Amino acid sequence: MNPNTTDPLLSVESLRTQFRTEEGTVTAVDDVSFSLEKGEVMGIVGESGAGKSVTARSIMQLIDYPGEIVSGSITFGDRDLLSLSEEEMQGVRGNEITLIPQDPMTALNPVLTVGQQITETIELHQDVSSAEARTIAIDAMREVEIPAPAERIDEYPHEFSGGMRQRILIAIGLACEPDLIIADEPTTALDVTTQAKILDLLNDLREKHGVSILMITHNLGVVAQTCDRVGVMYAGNLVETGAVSSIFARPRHPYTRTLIDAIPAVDSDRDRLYALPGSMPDLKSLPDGCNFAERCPHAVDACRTGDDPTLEPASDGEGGSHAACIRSDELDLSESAVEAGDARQQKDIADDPLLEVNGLKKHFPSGDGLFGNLSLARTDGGGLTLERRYVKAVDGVDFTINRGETVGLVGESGCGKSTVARTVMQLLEPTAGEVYFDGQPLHSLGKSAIRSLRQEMQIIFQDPKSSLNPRKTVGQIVGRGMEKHGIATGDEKRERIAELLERVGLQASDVDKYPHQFSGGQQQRIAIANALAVEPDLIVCDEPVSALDVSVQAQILNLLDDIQAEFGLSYLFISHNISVVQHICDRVAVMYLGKIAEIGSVDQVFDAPYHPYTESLLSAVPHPTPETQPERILLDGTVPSPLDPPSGCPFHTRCPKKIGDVCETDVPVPEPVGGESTHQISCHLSEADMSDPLYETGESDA
Amino acid sequence: MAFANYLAKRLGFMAVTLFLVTLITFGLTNILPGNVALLILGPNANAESIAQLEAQLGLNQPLFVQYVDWIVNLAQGDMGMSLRYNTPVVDQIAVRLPRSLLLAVSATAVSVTLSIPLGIIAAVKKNTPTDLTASMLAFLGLSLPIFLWGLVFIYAFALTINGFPTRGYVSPWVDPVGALHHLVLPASAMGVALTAYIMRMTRSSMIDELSEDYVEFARSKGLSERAVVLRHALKNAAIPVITVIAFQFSYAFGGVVVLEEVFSWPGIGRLTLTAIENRDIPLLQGCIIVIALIYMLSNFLADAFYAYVDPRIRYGGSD
Amino acid sequence: MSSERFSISDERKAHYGRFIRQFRRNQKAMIGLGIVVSLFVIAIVTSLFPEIVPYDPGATNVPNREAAPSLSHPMGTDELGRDVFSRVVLGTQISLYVGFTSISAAMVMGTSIGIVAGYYQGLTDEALMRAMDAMMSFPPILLALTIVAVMEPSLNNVIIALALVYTPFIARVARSAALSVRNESYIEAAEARGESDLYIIFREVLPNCVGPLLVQGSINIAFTMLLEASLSFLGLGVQPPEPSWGLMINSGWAYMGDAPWMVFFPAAAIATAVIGFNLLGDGLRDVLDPKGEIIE
Repeated sequence: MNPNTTDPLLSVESLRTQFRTEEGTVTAVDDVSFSLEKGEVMGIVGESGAGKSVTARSIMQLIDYPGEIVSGSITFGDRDLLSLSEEEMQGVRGNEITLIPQDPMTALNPVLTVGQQITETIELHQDVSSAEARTIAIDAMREVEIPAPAERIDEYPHEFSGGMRQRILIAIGLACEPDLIIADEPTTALDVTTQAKILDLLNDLREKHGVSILMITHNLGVVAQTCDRVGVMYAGNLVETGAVSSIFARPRHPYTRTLIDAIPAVDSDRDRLYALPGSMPDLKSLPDGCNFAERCPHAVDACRTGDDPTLEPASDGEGGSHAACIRSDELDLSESAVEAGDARQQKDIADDPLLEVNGLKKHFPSGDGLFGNLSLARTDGGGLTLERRYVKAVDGVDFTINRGETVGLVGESGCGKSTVARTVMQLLEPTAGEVYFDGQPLHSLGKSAIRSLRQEMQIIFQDPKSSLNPRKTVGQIVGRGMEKHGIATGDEKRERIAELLERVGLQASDVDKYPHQFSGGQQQRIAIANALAVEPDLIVCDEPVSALDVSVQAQILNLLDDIQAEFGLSYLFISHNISVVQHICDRVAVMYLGKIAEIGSVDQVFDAPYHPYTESLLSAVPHPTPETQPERILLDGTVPSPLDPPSGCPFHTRCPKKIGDVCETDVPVPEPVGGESTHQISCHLSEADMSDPLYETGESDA
Repeated sequence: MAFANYLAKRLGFMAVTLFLVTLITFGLTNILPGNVALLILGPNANAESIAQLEAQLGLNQPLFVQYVDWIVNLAQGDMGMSLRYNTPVVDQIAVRLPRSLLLAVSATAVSVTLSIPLGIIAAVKKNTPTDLTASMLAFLGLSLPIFLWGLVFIYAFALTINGFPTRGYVSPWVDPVGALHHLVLPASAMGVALTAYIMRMTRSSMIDELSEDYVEFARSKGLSERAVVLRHALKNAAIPVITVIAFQFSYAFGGVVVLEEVFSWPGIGRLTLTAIENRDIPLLQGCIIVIALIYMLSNFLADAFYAYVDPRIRYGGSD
Repeated sequence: MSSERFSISDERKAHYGRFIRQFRRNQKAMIGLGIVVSLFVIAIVTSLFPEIVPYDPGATNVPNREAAPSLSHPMGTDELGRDVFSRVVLGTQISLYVGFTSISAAMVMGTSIGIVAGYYQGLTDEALMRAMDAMMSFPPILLALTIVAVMEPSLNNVIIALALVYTPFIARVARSAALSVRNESYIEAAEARGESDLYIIFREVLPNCVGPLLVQGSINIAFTMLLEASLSFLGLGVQPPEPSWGLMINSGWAYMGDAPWMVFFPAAAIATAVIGFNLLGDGLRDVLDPKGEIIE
């Protein structure tokens, strides 16, 4: 719309947005300036609380009370958005600037059809009849590759899968052919294979329409795979901007460097992770000088005085990099901060199994309530009948964990990995199968026998906030297990609590604090101390770092690594994050629809021959390196319902290497591959076919 | 199919609840002091005739047998004979119930018209003086017992302004205008007393919905605040409100017991009081069961409507 | 058991301090608390020093009946010449006594039922909650009325009836609170630690359900006051000559045209008490409900 192409499409100057809360004023966005060219994709990356979402909402002026844009200007084309009236702004929103929100499960109105939700934007901003709006909506749905759009337009959101709902959100964003799309974590709520498809779609659409995209994300992998330029935010400040390639090759701000180093890379040498100490400062009381100085490995006294450093261009001008760091020109941050020799703890893995799981099954009655799993159904003859239905969450799983070993269970949501964890620990009663712990048959022991064995098995949960009773002090939480199992009482107990807290990186004086007084990472440390308190042999880690920011995630992974050797622990490590699993585990089982598709050592599983599901999972991970852009294997459709799993191989409905009827009729059994009994794959393919890559490397996109 | 499933389950629950309701009703009314036979025969009856009548009425049977008899008859629509009126209980209730229904429906209508707009305004203007005023208005309704609201309305509108009749009932089939005239005071009194609950539910469920992601997304499409509230949030917020309205409707039946006394409205509420005063057990059992049944039916209808409005239940889902 | 320190540390003070600060800032809660505390002070002082009220509440003075409010009788006199002010003041005791004892009993029963149902779920839950549903199928006043009629109207029977009537309401709230606490990981952590059910229910679940229960309890006290007044009005509640507000309205109504103060003052007393407990409950809800905290 602007003939003068040198003018940026969007230019944000000195934006400051604050929230007035009971405890004080939170400066969520503090003096942020950047601009976006027409047709450019710019990423805004940062950890939670960095201010990236508030920046996005400030641009659209969707800041609600008690938030307020305090100062700055936002120029879009030739208009100053902040001077527009609310009514004028409504003409911009959804028309010239659109939002793709984060969570497809909650962003669509459940009681309106998707058609109504797409056409309302079109009818609002374009002068068309409702019939024309419907045609445009169907076209938009077709454009985002929703199958059978004309039939599905009158369906309700809950009838679509998460990935399809995300496509609908994108269709709404595209329907009025905007100049700028603000995508707020558009793939964060999605599984990795679905994320791969959505990122591909966004890349295609961007090429086709030349639309500008502001991509808000916490995931550097997503940035590397989609963006031209990136801005890094920390504690309300934009600390670095530059071309994606130069940011990854030579970061100018120490925070950017640590952010990159904290990610466990899929193909790394499993070195120790670089873990930034501490956490982001409180936005209500920011320190003098640079907000990052407190955690910065390169900070000098000058960093801790005066105002926030301003964003200055790099002296060599390379890649258009700007950094808000007074030392950016003297530091060379192109090398990783992790020394090559900084290896992980040496491990001592015994040969005898601590935990042995055979043929484990867990079926849940579907529906709620006493008769909930009874449901009316049509018989083949059309009559009514009552049916009892079960969700087959875990459907025959075998594995072992040796003493001192870490075994990972990896898979996408709903594959049954968390249910395996809970069933193994007898928190859920298994439907069938055997679980031996230290030679004792847990599946046939009575309640009280299991209760006394609980001391040996502990669990760490995904959400640290939910895993600590908010009404108990840290001391009460950690001390309870010691008391319960007669490990320590009185003064001895207090001493041990203090030792444990210090061991996990907290302070002995924290005993009297309540969980809400800690950050998420610290809460996870308390949970780890709590698990260690009873001196267990096995700790089940259920997505222990998924709720944490990447720098904190690295701290926790290193801590888990350190205490393993020290306390002689075995881990069952549940995660959806392949790079984390690869980093921390010795052996890995890949799960799909309640069954193990492939199991073996990390090297075996992450190298050919692969189960086709493992192969597609690995290809879907967005690498945080702009130069590696592997061909992604895009799986068709979605995971089938565990209420009614497919016959034969559960993966056959989506398998890119399906060979024929045998996949549909015969259930594959785990078979050793590569002549090694430790590496087993459940697949009908020959070993050669499993080793054959689906795409030749270097083959270009068709 | 999902909808049918849902309704089938609700009906199943209702059957269980109904069974428990009959147990409670029977249990309660059978502890009621007073010898039924003595009441029927009068204080001068001799022991022999009392025993004879007890045998005739089945009162000498064990309680369990009496309960089974009662419930079998109840299932056939036979609630026994009223001791006071000496007519079938069913006939008494059939005459009185529609009058109370008319009162309860009108009262609910009054309170819905008052409370839903108040609730929406309070939610949209959350934490402002407007919100506080609206909340306070609703609180006022909550602060007095229903019978006192009846007295207030009688005093304010009948005794002083001298406009509306304060006593009695006129059938709308006979004299629609007169019926409406008689209805105004009791229905408004009860309506005002019920307003607070529905208003507060509307407010809180609107506030919940307005903080949902889909509302922000709707704003990001450029919809006006009016469209966001009325088109997007209200339909979702209505779902819990419907349940409260159904509850209020049956609560109104509690209200009628007292309010009918205040306004001399010859409905099922006064009938219940008469039954208690006269220790008329069959009549009392009938009244209680019918009022409880109305509660269950209105709840069931609310659930059904709820399911119909909410496509996640109507069509089932992949979730 | 062991030498747990129970001195209140600074950390704990900070913990409760936040609650107190927010409570103080909440106007509704503070007004409600003010009213409730005043009522309690009146009730306690008049029961310790009954002679503090200007007149004996039962003393009749027929020649001075239906006297308009004056300096000697600030709220006038009733149809028997009894001082309305003294009776309204003493009525506070009855109202609070009825409300507090009945709701305390209902809290004990309802919380036990609700938490057991919410914690165990399944068949236990269904059985208990269907029974609660059945009790809630009767409008509160009808159930209370029938129970009182069955047991003979008296102060204690009114309390029993109200306790029974409000048990299911409390049970519902306790159940839904327990259900949401049940989903928290710390319950699973307690199970994984090998804790007994009783420990989990009392030490992990119950303390985290206190908030919603306090709110419900406070609001239900207001309801019992309304219900007690209605029962008294129908003659099926507290019996004369006790100075119950409901009874006073009942007897005063016949004299509404000539002596409206006989109805007005007890009605105002009911309204004040009901509004007080409602405000307190509503304010508590605002403070205890952590929703509305804003971070990105």
